[in-house]
Amino acid sequence: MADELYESFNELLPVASVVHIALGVMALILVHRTKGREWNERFAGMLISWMMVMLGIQYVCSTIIDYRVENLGTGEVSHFNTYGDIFYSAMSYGQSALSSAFLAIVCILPLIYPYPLIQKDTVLRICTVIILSIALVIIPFDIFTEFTYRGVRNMLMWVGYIVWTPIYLRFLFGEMLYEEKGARAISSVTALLLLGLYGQVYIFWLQDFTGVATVYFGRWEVEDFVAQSYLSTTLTMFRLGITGTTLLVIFFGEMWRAFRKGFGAISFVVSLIFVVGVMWYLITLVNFDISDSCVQTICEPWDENFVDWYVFTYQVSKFLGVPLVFMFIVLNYNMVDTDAEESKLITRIMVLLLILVATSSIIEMIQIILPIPEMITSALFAAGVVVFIGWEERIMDQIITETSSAAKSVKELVGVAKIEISEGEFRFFSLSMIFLVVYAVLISLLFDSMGIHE
Amino acid sequence: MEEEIDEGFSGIIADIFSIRESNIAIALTMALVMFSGGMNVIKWTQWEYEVARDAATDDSWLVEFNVSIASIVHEETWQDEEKKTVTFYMDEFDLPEGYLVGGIEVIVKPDADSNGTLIDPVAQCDSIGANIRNEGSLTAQWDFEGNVLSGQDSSCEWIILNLRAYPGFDGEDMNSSSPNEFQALLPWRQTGWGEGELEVEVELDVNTVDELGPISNDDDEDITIEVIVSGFVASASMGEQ
Repeated sequence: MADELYESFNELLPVASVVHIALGVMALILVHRTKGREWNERFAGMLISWMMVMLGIQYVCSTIIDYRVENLGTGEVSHFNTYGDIFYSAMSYGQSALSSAFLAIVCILPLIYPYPLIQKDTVLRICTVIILSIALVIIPFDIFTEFTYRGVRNMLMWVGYIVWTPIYLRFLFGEMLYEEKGARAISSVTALLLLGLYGQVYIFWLQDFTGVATVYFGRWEVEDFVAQSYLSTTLTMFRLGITGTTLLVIFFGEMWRAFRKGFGAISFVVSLIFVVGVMWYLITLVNFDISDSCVQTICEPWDENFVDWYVFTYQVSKFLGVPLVFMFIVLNYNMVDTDAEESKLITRIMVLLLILVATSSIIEMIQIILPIPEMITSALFAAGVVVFIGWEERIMDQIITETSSAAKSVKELVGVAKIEISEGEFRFFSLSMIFLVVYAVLISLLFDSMGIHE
Repeated sequence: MEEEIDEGFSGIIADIFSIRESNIAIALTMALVMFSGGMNVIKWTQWEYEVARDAATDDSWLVEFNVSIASIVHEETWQDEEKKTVTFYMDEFDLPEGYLVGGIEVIVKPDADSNGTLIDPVAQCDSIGANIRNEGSLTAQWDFEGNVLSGQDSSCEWIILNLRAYPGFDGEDMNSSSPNEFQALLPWRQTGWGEGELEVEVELDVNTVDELGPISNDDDEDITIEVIVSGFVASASMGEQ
């Protein structure tokens, strides 16, 4: 019973890997074609596209790992006889390497968008060097340390919290108290960036904020194949506080704005995450004894409904929420030229892909919770697709006509240095990212063939 | 109005903190982060990490068994070439509260007088065969190699049969490597073993001497079946012995 249940843990992984890679590549093509945008808009579009590609390749590795774990002991994947074989394989190293590469890019994004903290003509070269340097170090570091310093490595994610939260507050207050024109474009894109990057952890905000979430970390210390180190878990504990607090900041900020200016889409999404976080807190309290069982007595399996709830909330936010939010940012915040004739087709494909994936994934998730016959879900899917295709033109029109430029607003409100970035530098950045992917894959294959953990 | 300026890093940062009210909100946010994150770190480093590591680290435990015995005796007369199955109900064995059934010993005892008495000096020992039958009604380690499920005798000796009920139980104290007492004792807390009905099949083949006279008419045998059940309760203490 439980085994069948746990199979749904990574139900969306294969779809997510394809979607992330496809959207990332298409967005990359669009960004490279785009001209006449602020340098940091274009660069942010490029970073987001590469983030999607890195995540996509990482999910490919995760999908293969998942397949191997599911078939462990069945003789179908004969090379892998134990979980250790899978844990110390090229796919695990690849997953880790791509995740490290993703983090190296993630820590740069807040430094250049929406408010560029680096305002130099050499900004692209500086960022490329920083990304490559970080990646060159942390990719082998994570593998060498058997992934036990994830909390240290993941400190790169803190940059987003540290930079974007003050920017969000600055421009939210600017709009609310001083009627700064265009400030909303900056605060909204900052909120969306925070939601896109941290959405899957924000759903645990209340248990993170109150510290109840530590019960899971205790369990993982006992349960995980290789437990996280003291330093790693300690840093993660602090991050829980940051996660909980920043979600509260966005929530109260958006509610304040909603009372004054009306309830918008972002207010709705933030409220939804807020409620899910409260529910997660209550569910954790209900399942506290099971979570704590590993530490107190012996690991008891999770309750069936608990697993369903986890799969539904976490997977949807991670595998569906992330591409939706990031693609919305790319298309809606002037990062790509959606108006150009040659870009329209790709934009249309991107929008349709997002719509179809969102529909099918949600139906798939609903099917996990409610055992609805496939006939009904297929009909629902078809109905959803028809409705969305009907809306596709409206969505496209909205994206093309109602884009807002956070970068322009920053320029108008606080002023930025005039920076000219040549086309060659953007190309050089993309070539560096290709090099990074090759490096990550090669490291994984070489470490596996050398058997560094044997 | 569009503004393009060239300022240093401090100037760029200063722009973010240019609104007093937002600075207060930022300061409050930082205070909350320090409070929440700090509390989490203290809780984890001072208590929870240590407990979790302890739970994940194996220690040596000495597992000791306190054994209690309960028995039931069944006495019956078998006719020559008669095969009978006697059923013992395991819940009739009077073990102390909390004790689990570890093993079952069945002793089949022929009549003590069957090897000649003053009344019948030429009487011979009868041939007795005994089996513990696996009819699926008793939960036990039927496949354990050390079980003795069948026996036969024709020299008036007791037939002793053994069946292990609890997996791994042999009555001897043992060392265990476990992170805590609960897990050390976990293998010795399974209920359900040794429950049901024990079926002992006994077959008699009377040996008679061809001799005239009324006292030589030996065509039956009094057989006693004694079933001894070993119950146990386990306790664990730190350290090997």
